[in-house]
This record gives sequence, C-alpha cells and structure tokens, in this order.
Amino acid sequence: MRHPARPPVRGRLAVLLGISLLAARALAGPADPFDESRMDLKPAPATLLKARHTGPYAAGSALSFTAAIKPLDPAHDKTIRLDTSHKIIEIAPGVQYSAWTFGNQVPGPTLRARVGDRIHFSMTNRSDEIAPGSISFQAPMMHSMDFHAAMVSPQDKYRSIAPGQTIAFDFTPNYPGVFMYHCGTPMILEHIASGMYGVVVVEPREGYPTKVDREYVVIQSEFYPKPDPQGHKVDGKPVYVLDTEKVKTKESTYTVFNGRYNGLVEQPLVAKPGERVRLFVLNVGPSNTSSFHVVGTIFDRVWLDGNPRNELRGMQTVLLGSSSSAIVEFRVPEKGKYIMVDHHFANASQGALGLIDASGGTPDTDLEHHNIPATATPTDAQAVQGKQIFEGKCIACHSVGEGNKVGPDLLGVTRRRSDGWLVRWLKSPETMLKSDETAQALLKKFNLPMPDQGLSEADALRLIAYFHWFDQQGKAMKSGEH
Amino acid sequence: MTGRCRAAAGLLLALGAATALACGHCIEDRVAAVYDYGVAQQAGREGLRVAYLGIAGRSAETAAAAAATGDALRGIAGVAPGTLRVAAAPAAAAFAWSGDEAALARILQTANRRLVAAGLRLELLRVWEAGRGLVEPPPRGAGGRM
Repeated sequence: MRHPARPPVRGRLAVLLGISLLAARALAGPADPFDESRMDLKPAPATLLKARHTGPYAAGSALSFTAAIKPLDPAHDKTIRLDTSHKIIEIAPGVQYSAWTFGNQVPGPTLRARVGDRIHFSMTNRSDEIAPGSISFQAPMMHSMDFHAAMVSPQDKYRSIAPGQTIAFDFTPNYPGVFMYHCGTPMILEHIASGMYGVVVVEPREGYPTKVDREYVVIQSEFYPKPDPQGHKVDGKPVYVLDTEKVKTKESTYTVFNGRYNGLVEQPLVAKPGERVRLFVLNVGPSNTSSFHVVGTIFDRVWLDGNPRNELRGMQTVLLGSSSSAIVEFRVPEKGKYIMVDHHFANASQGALGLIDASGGTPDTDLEHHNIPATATPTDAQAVQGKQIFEGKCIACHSVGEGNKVGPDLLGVTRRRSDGWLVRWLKSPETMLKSDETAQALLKKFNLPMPDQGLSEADALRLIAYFHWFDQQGKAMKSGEH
Repeated sequence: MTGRCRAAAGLLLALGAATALACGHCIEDRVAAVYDYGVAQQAGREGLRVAYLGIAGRSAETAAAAAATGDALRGIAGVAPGTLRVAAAPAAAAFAWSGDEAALARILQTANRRLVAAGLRLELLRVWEAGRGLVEPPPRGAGGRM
C-alpha cells in the first residue's frame, strides 16, 4: 500500500509559519491607525521668501470660507495661502471692531484635509497694506501661524514674520481631528482676541465611519472691545479696539459663533427634518469654556477633538476648553428651529447663539420659549458692559419693567432723569442725598438709601448706556413706576 | 535616588524647561515684542538701521530688568532718539542707530558695561534694514554687512 505523498519538511515549516503569522495578526487586532511609522515626523525647514503675495488674501481649493464646509478635496497635495491683514469688521450690529485676520476674515478660512495629505502652506504678512474695500487704523506688526494640526518645530515653522515678509512650509497631518490654527506672536492672547484663528479639519485616512446630510463649522470665540481711544469712526459709527486689560481678566463683552454676535441666528444653518447633521465645533476662547448644546436634540455621536476614536454617545452637551473641539452628529427629529447655544448662559447672552433651521422657511426666529430672545441683550459695547454691571451690582434691588423692588423699577429712567443727574447719583448717592431734592424724595418713598457701589464715571456711563438701550427697547413695554 | 536617577531627572527637568520656553521665546517672537513699524519706517527714511536685542540674565523677564535696560541704552551716542523700545516678557529691546557695525558694537559694549551690576546682558538677535528687511547678524568676528 502506498502512502500519499507528504510535502517536504521545509514546505511544511513554511505553511506552519504562515498560519502562525496569520493567527498572530488576528490576535493582535486591526492595524494601529496611529502607527508612528506611517507618520511624517521629519518635515523640511520653512523658507522665508522675499516676494510678497498680491491679490486674494486666501487661496486653495481645500479652503472653505463660510460655515458650510466643502467636501474633502481628494488631491493628496493641498496648496493653501492664508495672508494676514488688519481690517475693521462688524462683530455686532453697529460695533465696528479693529481686527487682525488670516485670509482677511474672522474666523479665518477652514482647511479640510485627510491624514497623510501634504499641506503646502504660505503666508505673507500684509498688515502693512489695506485690502480693497477695507479700512484699518491699526499699525502693521509681526504675525505668525501656529497650526495645531501639524507636528513641527515651532521655532522654525511658527516664527513671527515682519510686514512684507512671506513664510512657506509643508506639513502632514498625522492625526484626525478638528484643530485650531492661530497667530502665535506675542502677546498671543491679544492676537487671538483680535481675530487671528481658524480651523483645520483632518479626516481619518479611511474617512468618517458615518454618513451625514449636512456639515457645518461652528467656531466660538470671545471679543473684548473698548472704544478706540483715538476716536476713529467708520460711517459715523465709533470704532472699537481690543481692551488689553479686560482680555487679561477674561471680562468679555461678546461671546460669539463664527465671529459675530448672534451671527448664526441672522444666517441660520439650514437642514431638513429627518436629516443627519455633523457640526465641527471649535472653542477658540481665548480664555473661556464652552458647554455646547443644541436645544431639541441629542448628540448621537461626539468625537472629542474631532477624532472618531474618541467617541461618546447620547450626549446633551460637550464641554470645550480653549482650543478644544469636537465633532457632534445628531438627527433633526422634526420640523423646527433648533437652537445652538453655549449652555453657560452668560456666554449665550453675549451672543453665543445660533439656529439649525429645519422649518422649511418659516420667517420668524422666535426663541422666546427658551428665554433667550435674540434681542434680550444690547449690542453696543458700552451698553453690554453696562448690563454686566447692572446684573452684578443693581439687580438685587432694581428691576427693569417688572415693578418696584427694594428700589425703583428702572424702566423709563432715562426719560425721567437727565444723564448728568444719573452720573452724579450713581457715582455719589450719599453726597446727592445731602442736597438733591429728587434724591431725598426717592429716599422718602423707598425708606432705604441707595448704597454707594464705588462706580467710576466710566462705569456710570456704561450703566446709562444700558438704561438708554432698554428704554429704546421698552417703548412697547409698560413704563416703570416710581 | 541614585546619582544616575538624579541626573536623568535633572535632564528631564531641563528638557521640560526648554519646552516651556518654546512659546513666545524664539528669536522672532522676541523681535516681535519690540517691533514697531513706525520706527522701522522712520529708520528707512533716515538711512538708519534697527537693532533687535534679547535681554539675557537670571532676572531678565521683569519690569526692573526692562527699566534697567532702557536706562542703560538711553543717551548712548548713536542710539536714535525716540526709537528705543523695551519689553519685559519676552525680554527684548530695539532701537535705530546711525553708523556702521562698529558703532553698534560700541553701543552694545557701553550698555552691557552698565548692565553688569544688574546681572543682565544684551545680545543682538536681528537687524532691520530698508530693502533687506529683518536679517540675522553676522557671526561674531565676521566682516561684511549685517
């Protein structure tokens, strides 16, 4: 009887080795998506160029200029230009702010790429020229670019360049995410608070694991304006500049989405009932935290920092520190307007509000059910600061249009008293009570002297600006009595 | 802790310190702290150059060091009046000067002599010149233009 032919020993060993390798691989699980051997960790040096860019301040097919982000450009090599500029932008109705920009807009354009793509970046510091149609009173200065999506030497790639200089460098995004970019030139706080920031969206090599119908970028940031000490005006309206003291103490006047007070209420993000929406959310700061929430839905998925590996399910809010981000995905359950809000409501009242409009074109933007009407806060910076003072020092004793409390209802106060009287009263109530008949009458009526709150003249003027604002708003409301 | 461990810990601390210094402390950031476009424009018009200097020393990043640096540079012949800029953090100074490299070297020598008592020293980082922009100074002892 013949035995069947057996493979030679060497062949059997090879088969065994192959099986062992396959088994080992199966036990080890899928390949590591963050395998460092596939990363670019040896970028080439940056170059400083003599020639300066002209024409558009931003260029590149991978850039998006509005909240609606374009789909991924499939090209592996992406050439982008983000020049710096200084210009006046409107951050709230009537508030002209002296901003510093990337790509001549705030926030800067959004770059979308994929892990492993090659980004060819260049930037001219054009703060020494005025863009067509723009106005600036700000002196040119040095700027730089810091991409959080890159792994490079800051001393080489993120160096500051003088007006007229151009820097160019390449980088490869090694990790997926929603990454901030910003100017890193001292004082960094001032450069960011003046508008120099934007987003880089980096998709995983294999793309996102879910499908959506809409994609938008939402960037939260703070503004700290004060009236321009030099008194510049644009179209008769005062220009505001960065308040370098308030920015250090984190006393923001506006907290906004996409660079503008209630900007995403004025221009809602459109969706349809039943659709699935993906938001790329970045909190720029520079100093405050965001508790991002969409009223009326639940985040099916939250990918912290925009990386699908960092997944949370069924979230009501996502907490974002400065320069923190997330991708949030949710279903729009039915027809309606879904309110995006920073659930730190002090921030929402400063303008961190927006809408996902799935109403099919209903004209009103009624947010009353959530007690955050778009007009509940003044937009003039003086009045906004006055409101903050009022809520900090006056609200315990006074209401606006809700009747007398310990002290009088202040609705209509600017019609009953002159600004000069109010300044004197707010600054020195004790002095006024000694000699002023109106002050004495108030004491007689309310049996409680107005306490001295230690207000400066500037604070008194801010409060009066707020009083004027609510008196303008309150024409349709009943007048306060006292 | 063994000596080797202590050495390793020391090295790690030193590396950590270097990392902490990376933001806002590279040369260009120090230049940016005292860069004044108006001074550069004025220098260009008057045929001057602008020197950008780092302030070195154990207590360099203090208001006192900035004040001492200002005092040391003020009034030295060759420093163009009204062009001196000093920053505490990052610690840097800048001024426009008239004359050649040797004149700048003399200015720095005088200032550094005045700063010895404060434990401070000025180091030339960059020079701005009309038509050339910001350029690196030549290595010590090298001839030619800056």
